[in-house]
Amino acid sequence: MIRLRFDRGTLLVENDQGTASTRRQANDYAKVLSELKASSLEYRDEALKAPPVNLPSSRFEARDYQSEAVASWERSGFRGIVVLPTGAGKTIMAIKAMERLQVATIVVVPTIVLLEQWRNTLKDAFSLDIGAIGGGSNELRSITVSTYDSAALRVREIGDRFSLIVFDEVHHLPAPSNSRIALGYLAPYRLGLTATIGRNEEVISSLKDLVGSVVYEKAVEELAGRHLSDYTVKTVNVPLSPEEKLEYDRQFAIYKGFLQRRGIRIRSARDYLLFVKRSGVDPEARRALMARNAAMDIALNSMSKEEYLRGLLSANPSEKTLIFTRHNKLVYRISRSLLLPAITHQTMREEREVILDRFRRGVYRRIITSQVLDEGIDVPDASVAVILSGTGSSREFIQRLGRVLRKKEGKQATLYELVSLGTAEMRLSKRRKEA
Amino acid sequence: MIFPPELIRVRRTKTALTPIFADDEKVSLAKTLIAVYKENINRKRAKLNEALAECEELGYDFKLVRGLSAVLDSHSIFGARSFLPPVKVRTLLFEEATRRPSITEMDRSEIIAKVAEGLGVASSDLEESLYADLLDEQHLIDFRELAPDELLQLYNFALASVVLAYSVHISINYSGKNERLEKAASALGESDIRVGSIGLTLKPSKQVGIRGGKVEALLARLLESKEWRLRADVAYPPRHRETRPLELNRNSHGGVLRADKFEEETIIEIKSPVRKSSYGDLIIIDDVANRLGLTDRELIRRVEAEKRKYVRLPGVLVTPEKLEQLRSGLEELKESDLASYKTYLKGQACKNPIPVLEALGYFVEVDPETGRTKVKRLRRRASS
Repeated sequence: MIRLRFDRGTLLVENDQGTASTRRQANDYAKVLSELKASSLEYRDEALKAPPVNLPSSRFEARDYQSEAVASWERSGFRGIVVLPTGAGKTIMAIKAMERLQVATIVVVPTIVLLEQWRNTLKDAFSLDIGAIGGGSNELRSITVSTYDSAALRVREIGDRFSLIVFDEVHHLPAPSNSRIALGYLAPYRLGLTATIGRNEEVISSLKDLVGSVVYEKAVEELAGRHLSDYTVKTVNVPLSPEEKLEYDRQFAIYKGFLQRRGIRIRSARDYLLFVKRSGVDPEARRALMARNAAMDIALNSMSKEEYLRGLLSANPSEKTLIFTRHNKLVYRISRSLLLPAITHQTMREEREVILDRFRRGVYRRIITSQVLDEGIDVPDASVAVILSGTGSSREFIQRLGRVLRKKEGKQATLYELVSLGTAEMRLSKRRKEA
Repeated sequence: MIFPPELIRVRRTKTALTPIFADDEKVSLAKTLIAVYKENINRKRAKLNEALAECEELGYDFKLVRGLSAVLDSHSIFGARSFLPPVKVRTLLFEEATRRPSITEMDRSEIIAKVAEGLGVASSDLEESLYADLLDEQHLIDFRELAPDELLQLYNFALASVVLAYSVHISINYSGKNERLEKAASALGESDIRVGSIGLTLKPSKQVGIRGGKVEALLARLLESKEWRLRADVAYPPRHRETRPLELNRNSHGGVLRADKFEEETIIEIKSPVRKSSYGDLIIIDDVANRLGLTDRELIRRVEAEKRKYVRLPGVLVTPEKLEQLRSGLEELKESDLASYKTYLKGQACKNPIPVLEALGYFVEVDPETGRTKVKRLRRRASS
């Protein structure tokens, strides 16, 4: 007789006498169980201690694509990743998945704000006490929401208590500290949620092992009109001022000159990382890196963009507008000059909530922010988004676009993307829109 | 103080890991940086940062410049200087600005003037207050000057500490008895500490991210010994699974490393009033000893010196009266859920109920059926 036991974040497969055992990752539980079922071996499963649950039907109605996503996930053995745009209702889809499975569930989220949002939505959906681990809470229930950090810290203790694990913003999971969760929890059923999975082969392969493959995916364009607002993306190439252009060219020439002298070609993110690494030990490489940063600083934060934005806001005085930047420096410069409420990671939680609430109620019509509102915070609906600067990440672009896509009768959302003409920012812009 | 891992400077060969300590040749850089801090007293942090960025162009490793600056930061006091509460200023300005369709430069001046007038301050003071709470806007209010060689030694100490935080195994030899060192070692987590006649060995188990300060405490205690030697197996950079040995000893490194006495003095100043006060009816030994920076034995000795009678239970000291009160109170509880027990004990001024429950012979169990946490009685009465 073979016995399965959970032991501090691992799975022990041992004989009945306990004299011989193999230790496996807890993540292998479903696989081991299915192998044992297929074999003629007798076994006793003492590993999973998830309490039975009886979830009532939630008060939420699933849209057609949400039901399709649940069905597709079920066909994949209740494992896999669902990719839906921001505002398309990933939470509702997960609630429907929980209803379908009726098992003890832990939802893992990247931020405390999301923890509260999920907890409130789940309470509302099932009229049940929902547990929470993280952000000062430590209550375990048959449905529990946890931050990634807390779930990782308690792997050894509670890794055997849940049959289903839901990873919100699952693209964070492959990070070493987070992957401990997927490896250390037994949960045979797994659901990953994200707005975009990206194209990094390593990440996709890692997610496949930890959660499963992508089982359902809908792009923004497929839902725009019926379930999400219709939208337009307008890319505006803004010329630098003559002084800015001169300085940009000077700095960029230092960078390019170094690469040419050393015969270095930057063709991928990996090449760039190698160059950055070299700058840690090579003073000339460091000077080149500093020059590149100075050039990009001019391109991303140009005064010309600020002037264009002033005109844009003037032309759309009553539209609720979210303005995104890459750097906090630009957020505060524009907040000062155009007197716009600003939110960055330095904004205290209380002030952030006041600003968002005032924006929701229409007391404020504009907010300028860096990357902090890209994900993890419930941002009220807006109809115009302006990307003053950003990275080349398609995920960031889709998340920012998603902020203006919540469906409202007669709404036509617009995303303006301001790009410094004749600079390396044009390549960034192209890259983020390619996905 | 301890600086972020990205500023670590080490040489890693196949057989050893060696921190790149700042030697005497860096005195000139140390002098320059100290001068920069002195010059920037009463100026904004952004200005200081600009000056420090220029120092990175002096030809030294930028990680060294930033590491030294991090040490100097820990000797500095930064603070916001504003005439009005910044959040209030922002709220008033943004509200007023929202009333207008667009903000030209003239609109902006009008809004600033209007809000300033309403608050009875000058427009320039209002502008100054707008984001006075941002890090870059804070002023360097005070800087505790130190000698250049002292700066280098403090930097080396911080560097050694942050590298040692990545240790998977540490063995230490030291002369004489050093209970504080042993206490500092045990703070590194569920350490497998073996104290022998020649020293101790430990396997840190706390997360790397929270080990730093504890390693500093350990190293500071070690430096107090007349003779010492430390050998660690270090897994740095973390992506490398293979460890490398790092060795430090009094002869080679005693004069290179220095713990920041000022921080220790500050801690003692803060803690001294607590030490004088009464310990109360119920003492959770580990909690109180950790808070006061004492070993368990030192704490017990101090409590005994107060000449108040305490019953000693595993991990807990409690007065006989309080013990009787707790026992009766717990026996009367009708519910078996943990929350009821916690509520009762918190009502008895017990901030950390689990060790007390365990000391009194109760244990906590999670019911696999319901997922609820229950408290059960292990034995009728704990031996006292």
